[in-house]
Amino acid sequence: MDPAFLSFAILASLAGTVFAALVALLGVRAHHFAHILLAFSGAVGAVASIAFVVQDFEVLEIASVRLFFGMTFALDVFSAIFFAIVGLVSCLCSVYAIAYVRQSHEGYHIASLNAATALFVLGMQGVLLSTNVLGFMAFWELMSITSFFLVMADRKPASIKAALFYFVMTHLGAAAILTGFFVLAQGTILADFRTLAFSAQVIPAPALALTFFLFLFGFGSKAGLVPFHAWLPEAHPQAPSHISALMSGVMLKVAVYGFLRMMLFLIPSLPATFGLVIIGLGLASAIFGALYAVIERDIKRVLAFSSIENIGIIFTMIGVGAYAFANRLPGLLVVALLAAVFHCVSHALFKSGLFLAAGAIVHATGTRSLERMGGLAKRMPLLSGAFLVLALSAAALPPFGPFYGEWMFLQSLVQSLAAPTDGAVTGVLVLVLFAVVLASALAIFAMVKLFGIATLGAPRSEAAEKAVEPPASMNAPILLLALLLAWMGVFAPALVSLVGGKDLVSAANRLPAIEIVGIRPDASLVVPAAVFLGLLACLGLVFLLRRLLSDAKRERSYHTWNCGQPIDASMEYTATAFSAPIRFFFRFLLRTKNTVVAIPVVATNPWICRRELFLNLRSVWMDYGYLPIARTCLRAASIVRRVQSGSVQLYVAFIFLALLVTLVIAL
Amino acid sequence: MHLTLAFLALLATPLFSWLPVVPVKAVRGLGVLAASVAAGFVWTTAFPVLLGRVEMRSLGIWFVDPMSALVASLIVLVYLATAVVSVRYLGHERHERLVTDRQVRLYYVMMHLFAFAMLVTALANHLGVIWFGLEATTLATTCLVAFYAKDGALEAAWKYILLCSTGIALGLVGILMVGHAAAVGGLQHADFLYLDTLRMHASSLSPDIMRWAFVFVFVGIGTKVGFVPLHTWLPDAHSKTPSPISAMLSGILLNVAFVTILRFKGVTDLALGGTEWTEKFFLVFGILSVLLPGFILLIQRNYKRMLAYSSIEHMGLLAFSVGLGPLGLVPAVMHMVGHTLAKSALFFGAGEILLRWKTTKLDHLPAVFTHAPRTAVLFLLAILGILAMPGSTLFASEYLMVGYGINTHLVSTLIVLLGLSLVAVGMMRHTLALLFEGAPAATEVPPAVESVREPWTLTHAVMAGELALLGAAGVFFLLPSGLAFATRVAQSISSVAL
Amino acid sequence: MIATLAVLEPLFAVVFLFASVLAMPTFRVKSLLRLYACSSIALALLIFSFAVRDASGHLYPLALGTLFVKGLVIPALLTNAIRRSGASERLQSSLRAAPSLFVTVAALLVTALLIQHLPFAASAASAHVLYLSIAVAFAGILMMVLRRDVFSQMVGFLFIENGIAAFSLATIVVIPVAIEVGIFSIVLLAVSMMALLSHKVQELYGTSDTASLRELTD
Repeated sequence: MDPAFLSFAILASLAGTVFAALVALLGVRAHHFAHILLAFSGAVGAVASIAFVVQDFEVLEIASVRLFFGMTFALDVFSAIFFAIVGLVSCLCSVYAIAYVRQSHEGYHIASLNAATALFVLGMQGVLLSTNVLGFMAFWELMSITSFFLVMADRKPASIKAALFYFVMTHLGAAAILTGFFVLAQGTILADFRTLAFSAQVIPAPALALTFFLFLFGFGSKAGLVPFHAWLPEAHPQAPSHISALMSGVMLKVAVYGFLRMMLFLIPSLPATFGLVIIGLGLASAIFGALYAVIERDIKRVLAFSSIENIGIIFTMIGVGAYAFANRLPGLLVVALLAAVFHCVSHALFKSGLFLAAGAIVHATGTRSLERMGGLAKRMPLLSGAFLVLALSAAALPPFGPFYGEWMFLQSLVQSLAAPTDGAVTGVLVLVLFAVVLASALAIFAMVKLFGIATLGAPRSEAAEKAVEPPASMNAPILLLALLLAWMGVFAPALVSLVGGKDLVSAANRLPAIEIVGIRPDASLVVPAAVFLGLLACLGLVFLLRRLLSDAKRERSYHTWNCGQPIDASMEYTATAFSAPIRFFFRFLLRTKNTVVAIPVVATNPWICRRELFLNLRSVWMDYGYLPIARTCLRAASIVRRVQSGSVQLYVAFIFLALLVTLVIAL
Repeated sequence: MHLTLAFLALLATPLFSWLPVVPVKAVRGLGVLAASVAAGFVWTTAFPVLLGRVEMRSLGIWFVDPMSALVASLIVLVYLATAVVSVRYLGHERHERLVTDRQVRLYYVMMHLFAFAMLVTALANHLGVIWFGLEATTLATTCLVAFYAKDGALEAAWKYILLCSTGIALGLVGILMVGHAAAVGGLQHADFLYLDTLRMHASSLSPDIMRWAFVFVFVGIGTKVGFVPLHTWLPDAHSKTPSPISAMLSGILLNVAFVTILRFKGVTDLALGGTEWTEKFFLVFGILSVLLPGFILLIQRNYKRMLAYSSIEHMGLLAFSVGLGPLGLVPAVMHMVGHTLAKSALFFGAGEILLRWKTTKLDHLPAVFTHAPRTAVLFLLAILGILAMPGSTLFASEYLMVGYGINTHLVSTLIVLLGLSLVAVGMMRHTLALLFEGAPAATEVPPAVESVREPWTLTHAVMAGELALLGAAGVFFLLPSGLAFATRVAQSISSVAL
Repeated sequence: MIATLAVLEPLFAVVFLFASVLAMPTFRVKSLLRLYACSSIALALLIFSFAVRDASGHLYPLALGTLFVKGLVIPALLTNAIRRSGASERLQSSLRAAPSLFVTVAALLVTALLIQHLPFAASAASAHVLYLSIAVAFAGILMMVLRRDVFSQMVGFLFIENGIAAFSLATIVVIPVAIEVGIFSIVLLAVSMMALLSHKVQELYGTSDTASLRELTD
């Protein structure tokens, strides 16, 4: 396809988003049309960028706005992949939102919700297309502000609190990113990425370190990297579900995109220790994210923590890449980056699918707590089937896509162990290997709990009993995402070689191509088609054998044998109980507090008591990090407030003291 | 000369407003008329200079260069907006019998005198006239601070007049020192205190005396600008005044005083031969003025005081920008324009809220968004504007400031960024509380009134207009022509070439 | 005449200074105002003698203005205002009489030491007048900070203004008559506004003590 046609398509996608925002402001009646418009523009954008990736172009210039100091919007391979994610997920979420927002319209002001959604997507698209600092920051701020308003869309106190926390972190992060850009630019105020790439090669070491940490904090806090993650589990659950999907699925990826792009400029000059820092934070996020996902009982919080875990894995891969390059293992850099991007794509798909499904479940059962769900598999079969596929992908199990990304990464780690390097590097790689495997194991546990408690067994509440299948426009996006993940699983090598051949690293920073020595990404994969067919074969074999060998002529359906006692839902496994072993094992990390309150039934007899157990799942990061900082700030504020004491004499004294001090110091 | 006549003619309006012959209803319309006339007059005189078509003019005791033209244009813009909003504000209060006819007249007389004094200060060439103008603004607004005569307004007025007069007296000391330097330097008697002659002959002024003079002027007039620790009168005065006048106070008076200090800076820099010495003052006071409001805003539960502290913080940002170096004047100019528009819009909105619920304490207000959505949305947009969201002028100015600052003073810029984050957090927290969270002890409006949709008032129109201007200016300043415009204005007040 | 004035000049200077210093331990309103009037008249006469000695014509209006506005009108205005508002004659202060005086004298000494650091010492019209102006202004500052009631704060401000007027004398700055008139009228307006406010304060709170003006914190 003609590059001009592609760039027109991308422009059309942008224009469609803007138009959708304007249309949405017209009010409730425009709800359908706005979302259809948004879906359409997302689809166009996705198709155009995928075409771009397939067609092997170098850079696609979309538009050059001469007015703003020659700001150019351009697409290269790297941003095209992320642009495709944005387009696809926003398209599916818009379709979902048509029915979803209609269902829960009491809490929301529909016109502003839709307009904010469209602007949010516009912000993300703009960030991906920007090639200079001013444009990047402008669209980044747009994205942050609209998502802030979207989190508090239902205007309840809990949402506002979560949104405010998010606002703090995003504001600090944006300031850090802006500062990082300026420090990197070394003097140019209106820099573009090409200037940044060049100055990254000549930047002195202290400035390099400062830039690195600023970007780590800025992009990391937006992506949900521990210890900057605390806003994520509060904010993502409070937003409407299609917004949670967009935020978790796409916005976190945009943050990863920003970090990756800056790292691609900095990696050639970055010493190995910084790679270790990234690895450390990534592993911490992966393990803590998975842990908290295991012990949480709110379905959306589980998904939020799972996002943190996956972002941790992505950052670990990036960190390994940086570390490897500094230790003269360039091949590992390429594979790690490929794995990171692959994981980004797959995470975007399964996390948005999970959030959309969770939204449907929450609406059907009226609660977010896993302890009140159950039995949905019989009542919402299609949704549960898609939910199963998505949960299995989230657990990184074959035959679905995410498995192959992680497998590729782990295999390349093992292969690099064979390369001649010193002991410290080997140690680090081994540690990474084990930690990632641990995190994946915990993730499997979490997903099993999520799916099992939510959909299997008997309903644990009345509302769950009455759950019905959501409307087709809500089911369709979820099913489509599940299918995509299955498709990814089968065609993983083709996908990887599609991108791998482009050499992401050199495309991004215009440096000469790096030779892939010793490790070939596409050749290292287990052939997934074989796995898929193998699984199918096994299933088929079991089915056949059962048919042939078993005696069952007719099935008799009877209720469960219950030893004479009535069985009800309270006898089922609860989410809390399911996660108890993990909770127990990691109690030194989790610091959960059990409180048992025993109240005597009759005052005179202390031996017969009513006991209540309070299980306090506190976040370690909040208790030891965020809350002390907040308290210090407030205490400083009260101290500073004493300046405004009310006494005129003191005020006059201030004036003259200031005069005196200034005179003494200045003269 | 014709400028002097024009000014004298402007004085006629307060006179007319006071005469009992003119009916009270006409006084309000007269206010709008007078403001429009003043606007027209200033814009015809100032715009050619502002747009660069005419070189600066020096007409005796008046002085029109791009910077003073910009300030004068902003003054009349806010003056016009305030006059329009006052029609609604005072009309409502009079309707509810909260103010007497006599008070309405007093309000308008003082408002006209206030605007007149500000114009005098902005366009003056003689330092004595500048001093006169500043003190006159203090006096005119004291009446307005004490307008309601209850609830701490008197206390605020007393502190205001005492502290500002003391500060301006210190400024007078500085002015006298400058005059002395001129005398020692051999200037003619008649030329002692004329700004343009001082600039021309700055090299003959003794550096030692000029240093002392600058300190006194900075601390003295800095009291009027509201630098920390000289700011103590500001939260009280700006919160107790009727809201349209608060808009004028916060929006433009602080800028006028700041530009006055900048003019002194220009002369001092020429006398000292370099800009670093004066820049240190701006840097230190600027950082202090950003940090202190940052902390206090975290716990500020009165929305008008919140806006006042935000003004202190923005003046601190202006000072910080100037302190970064000669190029820092360019974002300072942009910031001035943006802050004027955003802050006056905010105070107009606050006035609407105050009219309806009669309290400025957040703890006593219900969720404004449910009862007055139009005001709430406009207020929220203005808050976003002042917190430098993309599209607002302040985004452009803060971007340039941070960019320039990181290259010149890295640590100071980081501290200022932290302060800005604190301010943003505090203001957003309390704005959300104001708009979306009702307090339990809220003073509710009776249900009968509730069902009526909130009417679209004059205030909303003015706020919307100002927000539109804010957005337009935001886009304009990011264009090369906007940057060139700001550079030209900054050049007129700077002592070195930009 | 010139000779007499030259002889009397130190007297005027001393009266000017002492009136300001003696104002510090004075706790009765009427005495305070009388001391202020005294100090202003002494200043006017000082300016007059300078005018005659140096034959600088521009100082005559200044002397006249000081005599009239600061020596007569303002004290009369204030006395009137205080009588009408019914304020207590007794004024409050953070320090008692003796410590106040002590602090003021200490301030005088500090000023004397300070004078040497000023770059004007050489170029001023008269080093004594420079010292006077700073000393009187300092006394005014102390009065504003140490006293607890609104009237003393006003009078402190007026002393500062007097000091500044003397400073203008020392720094030989020429201000056109029109602008001088403007400055005087502004000062007059400021004082009358302050008087009006303190009257209202007295009305509303029943006392002129600034402890009642401490509600606006935070």
